[in-house]
Amino acid sequence: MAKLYVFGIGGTGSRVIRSLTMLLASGIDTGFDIVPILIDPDGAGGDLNRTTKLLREYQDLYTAGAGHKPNKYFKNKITTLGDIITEKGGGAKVFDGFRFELDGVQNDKFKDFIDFNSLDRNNKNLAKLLFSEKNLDADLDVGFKGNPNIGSVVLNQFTKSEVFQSFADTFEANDRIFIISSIFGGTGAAGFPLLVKNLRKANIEGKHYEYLKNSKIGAITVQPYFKVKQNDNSEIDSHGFITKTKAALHYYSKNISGNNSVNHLYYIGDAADNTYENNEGGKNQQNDAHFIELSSALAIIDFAHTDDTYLQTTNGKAIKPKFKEFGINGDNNLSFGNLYGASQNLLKQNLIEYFYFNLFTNNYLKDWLKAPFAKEYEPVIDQNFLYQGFYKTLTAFNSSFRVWIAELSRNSIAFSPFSVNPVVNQENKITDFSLGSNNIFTLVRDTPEKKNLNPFASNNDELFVSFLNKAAKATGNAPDAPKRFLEIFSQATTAVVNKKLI
Amino acid sequence: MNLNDFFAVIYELLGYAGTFSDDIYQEELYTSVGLINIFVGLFLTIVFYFFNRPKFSKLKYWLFMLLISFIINFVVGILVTQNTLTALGLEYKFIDYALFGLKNAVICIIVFVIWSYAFKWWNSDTKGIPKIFFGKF
Repeated sequence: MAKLYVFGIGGTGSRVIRSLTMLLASGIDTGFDIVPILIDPDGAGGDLNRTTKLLREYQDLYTAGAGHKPNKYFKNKITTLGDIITEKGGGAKVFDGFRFELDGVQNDKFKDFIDFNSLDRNNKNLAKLLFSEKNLDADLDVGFKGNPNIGSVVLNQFTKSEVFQSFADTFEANDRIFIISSIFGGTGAAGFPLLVKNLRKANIEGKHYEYLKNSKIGAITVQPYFKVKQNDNSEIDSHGFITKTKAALHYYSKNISGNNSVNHLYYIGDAADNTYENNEGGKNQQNDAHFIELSSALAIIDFAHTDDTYLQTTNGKAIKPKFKEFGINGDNNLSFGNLYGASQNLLKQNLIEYFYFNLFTNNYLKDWLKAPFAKEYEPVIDQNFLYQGFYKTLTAFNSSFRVWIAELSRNSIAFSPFSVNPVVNQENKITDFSLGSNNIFTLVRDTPEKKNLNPFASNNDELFVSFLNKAAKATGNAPDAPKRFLEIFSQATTAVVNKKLI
Repeated sequence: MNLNDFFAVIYELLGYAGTFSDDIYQEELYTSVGLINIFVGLFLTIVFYFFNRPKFSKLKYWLFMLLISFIINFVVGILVTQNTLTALGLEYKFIDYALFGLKNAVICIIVFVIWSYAFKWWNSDTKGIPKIFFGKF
């Protein structure tokens, strides 16, 4: 299958890929194998690590479910550059996971990175002209702290790296590229134009890559959608976000959109009124999921679903570039009803189904292990199954999904399609959600439950079990328990959601 | 073989009670009691397998239905034979009627199990109820 390389640059890149992973888990299919490549110097970044953990869990769940009868969840393959090279018989050990590790940024100041002290006087003066004292003394291991001038120097390393060359080597005619970056920070704002320029140049270490030069490139540039608290000790100041955005847009108008470098360029942003803690980087930089990130993930799906005819490129130039924005019907506390047609169609059914899959496994499964769906077919789903690797991974992934849903609903603007209440720890981090109603089919806002006039009919988890029993009967036995589990749950959730809600 | 002969073979396998059994045979009560037994079993298994829901799809509820069938057939076995034979002026002790009722109730267990195996495959909620042969079938 053709591949879609998704470059997630900086913290925003990681957060958008987090949302994309949730969408793919819920059953949305891009028609491509997704290859996420996270570019972030801040290796300890909370958002980055949360996303890489999620991607690894997704991969395990994809592998567990693949290869038998089709099931809905985790069906879109997510792979790594390392895996692709191994599949193609390549021996070179490229990076193992999803994150490209920049050399020379660990425990280094920017002036060490550019070898400032060994420059001659003239070059030192030139460097001082381009970079402030603060810039030169900046620690690189927590990122570029909103300084794209630093980022553009450091990130040049990526396009000269073995990883970039391996990526170019594996890139094939039908593959596509999508780049996620924010425009108001440091890493994304610097990395995006740099990456596009090198992709279109397609000349790495003297080797020319024609497929890469004429590749179909989509990108989303995320404009300010949050602020950070004012902190005199932090280099990040959200008062500069708009100015930086304007400056970057001006640059893009000549070097990205103005020269037809990108086939589809998506713009998104929001009049930010939510304020995050001011963390320059590290594990504390872990922002709540935001609707903007979810919408940005939809841009990737939109790009993947776009027909080749609209993405033609000649001589490294998009023939008919398109520029897209995203609109909603509402201004806060959004639910599915506030989305327009295509987005609503894509999100509503899939997220609702995954929500109920998640809800049942988390709240009810252990009480129904003696029902036919669990014990009458082989392999059985019993107490032992709940302690095995697959189910543990699923539980971890589902826990992240619940946190993600709750974070989306707590943020501003809020996307809260489900009546759930965030559960927080002492640090005010969301750890789970609680239900807003005992009747599980009243939990989808704007979507009333379809009532059954029969007073003796089963409802709630019992109705779910009834559909699981039917699905198990239709599926029969399976080669292993995870495959059977995913198959019957994917069938049953579709049926139960169609019966009670949609 | 007519129905009366067919049911007589089954009931008398569980014990032949001399003239009491002969009178039941003579009045063709084996047919009426046997048919009631079959239809009571059929009705109760249909209720269990076609009007059930996951919460009640458990062995204990199947046993409860079997108990209802047992009681109904026990009472039917007594009342049908007692009313008919007494009306004909034939006098037997209550224990004779009670033993016939018990035979009828025991047969109802077999009938109920047969009906259960005929229907248990149809409803996905009740699959696997009951299971005999050491829980294998």
